[in-house]
Amino acid sequence: MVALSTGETYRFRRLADPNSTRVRRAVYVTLMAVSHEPSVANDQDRSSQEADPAQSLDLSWLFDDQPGQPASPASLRELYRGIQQSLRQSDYKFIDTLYRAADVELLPAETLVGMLRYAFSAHRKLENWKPFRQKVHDELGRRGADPERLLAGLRD
Amino acid sequence: VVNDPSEQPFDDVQELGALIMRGRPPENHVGLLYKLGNEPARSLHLEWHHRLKDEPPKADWFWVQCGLDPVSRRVIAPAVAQVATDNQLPIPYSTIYEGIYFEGATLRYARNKAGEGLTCATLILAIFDALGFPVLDLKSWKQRDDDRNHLNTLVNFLRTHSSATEEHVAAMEARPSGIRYRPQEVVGAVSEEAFPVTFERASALGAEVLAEMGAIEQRRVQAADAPITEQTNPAVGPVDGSAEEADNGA
Repeated sequence: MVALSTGETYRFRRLADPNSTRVRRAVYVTLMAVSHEPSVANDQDRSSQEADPAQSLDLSWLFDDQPGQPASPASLRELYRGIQQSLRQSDYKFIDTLYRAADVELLPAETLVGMLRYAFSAHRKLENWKPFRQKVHDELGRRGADPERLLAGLRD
Repeated sequence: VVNDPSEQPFDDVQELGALIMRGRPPENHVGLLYKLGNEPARSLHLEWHHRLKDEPPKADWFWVQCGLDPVSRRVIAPAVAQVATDNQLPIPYSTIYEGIYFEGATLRYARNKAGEGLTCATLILAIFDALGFPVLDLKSWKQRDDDRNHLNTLVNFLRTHSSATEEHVAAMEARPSGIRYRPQEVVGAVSEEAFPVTFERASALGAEVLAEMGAIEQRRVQAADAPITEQTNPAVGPVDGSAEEADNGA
């Protein structure tokens, strides 16, 4: 486990929350994404995150929505802000890590589609965007939705 | 397609819609209507040169429901809500629409060379484009006889009724493209269930939007006139049936 910044400690506490196993697992995935994972981040990245916790994004709100329910406007707005902040800082690695780590089975359809659309204009700079699109496509199909319609326009 | 807000309030919009009103110069004005959860609906529109507005919709707007699926609407609406925030830069007015208008992958405006900018209609196209939704099939678009004349009217109006520099206006004027994405066609296209919408379909939808706006306006005039007629001459018009009976000789 990588060292946690102040914000990450808060999220780590959420793991002890007596919620369902699914939600705990989802929050753990978020932790790993925000920490940039040991295999991805180098020591310099980690030390700079610890020095300035504001640089790491608190994504715990991503999992405030109930599984099976539509994502709330508030959480989607936070998702949009979080992705936009990373894009403005050219922090493509963060979004790529999020794509790789996100458990598509746990997130509402709006969150999955939003993760793709809010970063669409930069998708050629995001190496995990295309594989994540495929994962979302498959998951939406598994849920009985129409992935071609929901992901319309999201082409290479 | 077109809703009259006096009968169908703006708050009835399901997450996302489009707005249209009669504007000046001879141009209809359009914007986006969005609603986040239980909050009141709001409008986002490029009113004119350097005038991006995010405000409660005014009574003189008409509105249409976005035809996309609920998931897509719920994804787009929060992004629209953010367009006017996040240190948004002033958006110049220009009728030329080409390429990417936002910084990186964000929705912050980024094109400020002379002649560059957006219209109220192309702002909508640019926002949807950035999210991977090409509203119009631009390759199918055709120049129409009055497009160039309309462009000239707008350029003149921009020159006399805005803070736009002469360099900006002259650069617009110098561009050969006279293709125009008409506001009513963009609004009509937003009501469709799938994008992109072809020129032919958007043209038909635009005509339909204008016809429905005209019909609503006519109903409003009739409704405004009716009480005056009754007050000035109660014998005219069947108020409670007695006048009709009199006319029939009953």
